[in-house]
Amino acid sequence: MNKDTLYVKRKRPTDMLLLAAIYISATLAVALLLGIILYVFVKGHSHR
Amino acid sequence: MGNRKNRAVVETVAQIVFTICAFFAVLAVVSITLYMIISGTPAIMKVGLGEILFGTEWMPTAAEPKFGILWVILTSIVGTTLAILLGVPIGVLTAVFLAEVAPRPLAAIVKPAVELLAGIPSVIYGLLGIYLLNPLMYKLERLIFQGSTTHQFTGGANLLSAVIVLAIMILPTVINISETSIRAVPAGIKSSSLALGASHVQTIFRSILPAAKSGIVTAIVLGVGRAIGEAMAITLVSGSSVNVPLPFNSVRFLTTAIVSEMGYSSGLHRQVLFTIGLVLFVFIMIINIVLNKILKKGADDNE
Repeated sequence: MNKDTLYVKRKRPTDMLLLAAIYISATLAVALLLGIILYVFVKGHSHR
Repeated sequence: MGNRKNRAVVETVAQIVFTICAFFAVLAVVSITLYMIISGTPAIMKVGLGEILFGTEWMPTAAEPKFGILWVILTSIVGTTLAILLGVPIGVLTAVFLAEVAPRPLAAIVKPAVELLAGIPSVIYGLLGIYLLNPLMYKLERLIFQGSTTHQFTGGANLLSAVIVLAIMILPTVINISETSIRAVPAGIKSSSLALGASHVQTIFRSILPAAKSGIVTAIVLGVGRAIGEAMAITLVSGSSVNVPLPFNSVRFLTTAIVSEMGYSSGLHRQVLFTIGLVLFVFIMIINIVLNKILKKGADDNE
């Protein structure tokens, strides 16, 4: 297939890398939040 | 006629109320500044500014007391810088995810969750640090300094733990403000970039983020403000002894120095604690002034 065609999206490695960084950061932030909330609930409940 | 008169009265009353509110806000700032200067300067006169700022020995209750806070100042600077270096990239990328990448239903779930993170009291972060982070750090410390005869083991309460806790604590501030500023970027900038053939990721990093720069800088500076002023969480996880700010050293920040000693201090010792407060105050003032300069420069450049 012709590489210069407009109909095929070019895959750039840096794009993939940056997108991966965005997903990893978001996952980390949400995981931290859920982890903190769950930990506080579980520990708080077990000490009742 | 009467309607116009009523409107004029409402205008006048509103003006008076706003003036009073502004006056109280300014009065609060001025009185806090004056109080800090009045309380913080006597120790500077007695001990000497150089002795306090550049002294490396902190022995306030010794027969010959020493009040050097150089390591404490450096700990605050190093700790805050590392927390910013760790927390800001994660925060900004999460904001990009929420504003540009995440599907709407997912963003609708994640955003309130991140806002909830901002509402968690700092003492909870400290408790989590003690129960989760410190044991992990202690394991890491034992692994790294196995067989070392010179290293003083901290039980995991060290600078690294404090930095991680601070980085987590600044996340909500950075995420929320960055996301708002990314969403505020005019749609034309994004569509122009896409129309020129840039990919979505290129558009984010080359067009949207530069356009949202001033908001992101504000987020960073507010993050710095939160990190440098934080006391409770890092009191619990940093070990609170005055040391050189190295990753596995037990350290004391400016805020924790005040918190941990104000309760039993008296005389010159207490006055020096006020001087530490004054140093912290000056730090935050400098950060705010630098922020305003950067934002003003950014606004001028945009114009």
